[in-house]
Amino acid sequence: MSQVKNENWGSRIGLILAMAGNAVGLGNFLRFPVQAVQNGGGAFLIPYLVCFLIMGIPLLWVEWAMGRFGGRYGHHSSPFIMGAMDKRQIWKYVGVFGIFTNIGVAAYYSYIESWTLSYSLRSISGWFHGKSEMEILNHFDSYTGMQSHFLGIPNEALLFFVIVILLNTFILARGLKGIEKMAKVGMPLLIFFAIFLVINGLSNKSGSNSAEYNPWIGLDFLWTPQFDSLLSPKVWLAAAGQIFFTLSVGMGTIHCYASYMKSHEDVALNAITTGFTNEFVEIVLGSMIVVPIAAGFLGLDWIKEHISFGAAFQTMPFLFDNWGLILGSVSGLFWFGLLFFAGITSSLAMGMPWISFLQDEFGWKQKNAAYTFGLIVFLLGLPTVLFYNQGVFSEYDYWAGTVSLVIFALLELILFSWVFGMKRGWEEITLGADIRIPQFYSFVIRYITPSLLFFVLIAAIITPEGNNWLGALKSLFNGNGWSLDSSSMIQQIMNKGLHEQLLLAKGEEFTKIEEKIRLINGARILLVTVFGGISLLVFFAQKKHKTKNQQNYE
Amino acid sequence: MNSLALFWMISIQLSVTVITIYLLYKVLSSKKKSNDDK
Repeated sequence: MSQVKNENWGSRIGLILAMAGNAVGLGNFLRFPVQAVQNGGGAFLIPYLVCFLIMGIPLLWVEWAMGRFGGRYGHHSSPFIMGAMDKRQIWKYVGVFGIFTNIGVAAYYSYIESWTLSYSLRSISGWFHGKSEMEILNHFDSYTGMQSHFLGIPNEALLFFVIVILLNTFILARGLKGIEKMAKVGMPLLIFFAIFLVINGLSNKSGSNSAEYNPWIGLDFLWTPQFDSLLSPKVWLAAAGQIFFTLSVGMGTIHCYASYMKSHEDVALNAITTGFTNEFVEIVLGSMIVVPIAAGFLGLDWIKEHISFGAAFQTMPFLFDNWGLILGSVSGLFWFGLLFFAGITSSLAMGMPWISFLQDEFGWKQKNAAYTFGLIVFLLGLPTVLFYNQGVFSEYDYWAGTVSLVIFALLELILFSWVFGMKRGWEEITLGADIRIPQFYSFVIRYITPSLLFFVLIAAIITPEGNNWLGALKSLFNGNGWSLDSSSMIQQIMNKGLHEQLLLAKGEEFTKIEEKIRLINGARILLVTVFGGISLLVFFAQKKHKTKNQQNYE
Repeated sequence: MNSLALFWMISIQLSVTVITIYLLYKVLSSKKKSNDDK
């Protein structure tokens, strides 16, 4: 067993804000409204909230309880937290996901974070003022294509990527105090910026500031419940996926943060409070910015056809500019500023599991461990910066930021409720609790949440063509088989979509797709190498503990 | 904005806001207890 550390969070509100900062990310403002628009509008909130209650909250309680349990034995990273819960070595290697996903996600997440920093500075300097929609769109392409300059310095994308990594490393080197301070500043500022944008966006009437429409038509479209959509399995799966990713569960960051709590500190109230704080930012603020502002200037047809993650960078600066130089620049700063704070409070959380692992198991100093995190993220993230347009970024997001999370969450639930045991698990969750958790949640954690996660995983593996589940089931029962969508995990592994494009491509296009396939396979090899490398370190750490225990025994 | 969408939006957003504020209040009001633990 490693040496028990005494490092704890400075205050309870600091812990809550750091945990909420971990959960609140770019997805709250960019992914949620897109998902709601595409999956039944207001009715999407029904499966979304149901999944929050039966999957999100239980997973939060489980991860917080696991983390605090591991911390009691001096472990702050998933491999050894899980190892403390069951003696079988396999769990330590399952716990590798809890470090791997963080490094893998931080590698590409830091890149988006760097866009927000660059765009904040460009906004406040008035650079976007007077630019056409096409010019702003072209700037994004030239930025991600490594062709843009910043103050005469070439490779703007690389420059800001390095700055963001250095900033993260600097804060992480200061340990929990640095993270807590960042959360205490970043979270209130994020909420303030969001409220400012909501008020500004909704008070912009049609006919004023070049707005053709009333922004409320966007909210009308977003919130009108289309109840028939509730019958579609696609909508339920989208809701489960959104809840899962918005809460940052299945990553190991919650294990790590919770492991620094005091051994009898409340888990029940803290966990549910961070969950609801995230929901407040997502449902109340996240739904009220992009959709109404874009609807006011570009209309509902644009929303239906073009709303996407990229719109935050490709379109929003143009829309803000309609408010005039000063208000437009300030709004741009606030928009990209809130995305930056949402991003950095999450990327800091991704650094801690690796740092804690090196500290606990190899006796490294906080600073040195933080520097290695920065270096690894830089090296692993470099291909996403250099080959963004060739799909490397999306590949990292899919395997490290999507698939790994669901697998890890499912396995940790099995460990917690079936191996460690629900009786002990329930005692852990309710130990020191400031609220009473209804007993039926014990049943939910043991049966419902893992089943739901299992369905989400299976659905990702065998997604039917066009995401049409009812049609696929009918086809299966009629003996016509199950036709897979190119977004299904099976087809993704085979690069089916790209191979189909290859068949139709000729000349330069053919070479481009071939290169893309090579880069995507290279990205996969890199990710597998990282996973293998961490597993090897876990093996050595385990061996070290064994030798130490034998020496103590002798 | 149609009345169903408005009702739906206000009821969900208000519920989430009230619950969040209540939970944060509970956390802050149990600060003393947490400090006593130290």
